[in-house]
Amino acid sequence: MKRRTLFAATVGALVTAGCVPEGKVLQVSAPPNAPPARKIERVLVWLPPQDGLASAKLGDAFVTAFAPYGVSVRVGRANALELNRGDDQARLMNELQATHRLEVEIAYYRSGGSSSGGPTFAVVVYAGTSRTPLMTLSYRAGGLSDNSLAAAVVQKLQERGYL
Amino acid sequence: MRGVLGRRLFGTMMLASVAGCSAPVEITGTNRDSSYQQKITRVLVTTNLRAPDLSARQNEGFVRADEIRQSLAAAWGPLGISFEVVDLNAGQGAAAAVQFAPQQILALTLQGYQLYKFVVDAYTVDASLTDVSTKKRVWRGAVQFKGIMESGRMRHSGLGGAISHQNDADDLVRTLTAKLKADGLL
Repeated sequence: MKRRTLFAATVGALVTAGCVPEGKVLQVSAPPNAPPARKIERVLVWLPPQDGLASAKLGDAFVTAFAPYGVSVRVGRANALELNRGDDQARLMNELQATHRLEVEIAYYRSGGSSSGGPTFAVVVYAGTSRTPLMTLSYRAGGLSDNSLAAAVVQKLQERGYL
Repeated sequence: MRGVLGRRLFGTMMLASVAGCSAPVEITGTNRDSSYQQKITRVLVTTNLRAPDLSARQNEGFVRADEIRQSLAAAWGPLGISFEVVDLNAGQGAAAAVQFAPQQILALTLQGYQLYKFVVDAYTVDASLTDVSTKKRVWRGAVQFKGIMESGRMRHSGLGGAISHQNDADDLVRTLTAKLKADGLL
């Protein structure tokens, strides 16, 4: 009887929780022990073209994650088959006078098999319009509706002194 | 064991026979820089067609650099195009690129894949052409390697083991050549 109650309670908790599995940081690379030349004040977040894998809610999640640090955020999205990203970003970069830009890509996405899971994101942070990465991060999302990437990136930036 | 294999093979053949008949490899869209007027004459082709979260055996479902090299030799050789193929997954790269001194780089990069019973069934490859002198991307295409239900093509043996993908490589090069010609780059 006890065992049955425990089983029912466990199942009930799992059902009612309805939580999306959290993602996981796979790799972060940044210059070691180098204090950043400039803190992030205004950032352009650039999402990949696949809105099914990186929804507008991911952009909102970045706005929320940067808010406690007083960082202004603008969110743009790449065109499918874009040729030169800098040209596409120029208008938003100028409007915001962005100090940094944060580009999100779908590194790859699997479907079918035992577990579809979420996409694996590659995130790169740059200063202004520079092409030299300040920090790169690889992140496997827990599912299609898992937007925890934003909080993970902001946490890593905070740890490295960018915020 | 033989019975299981036979049933599996029979099932696969039945599936292939009723599958749709769209082309196994298609370029679904392209974008080109209309200001770029040069033709492809000396191109370095880089391949990055392995998924790090799949096993070595599962990765055997993707077309291989050697197979692409063979197909390019047959299709581009007669057109007088010099090319070199570098497999980035095999650790080849910078030295070969410098030695070859290409005018353009055509990067073939795995974008996503679909599994069917733990083996690779369909996948998408990004094809990007960059001009070396300006370092600007001048052409881009999305290549779909369609699965068995759409095209009837199987990318693994009955037990998921390695098979040749020369047919995929031939189709890839054929469709790439047609698109690049249509876009005025060949």
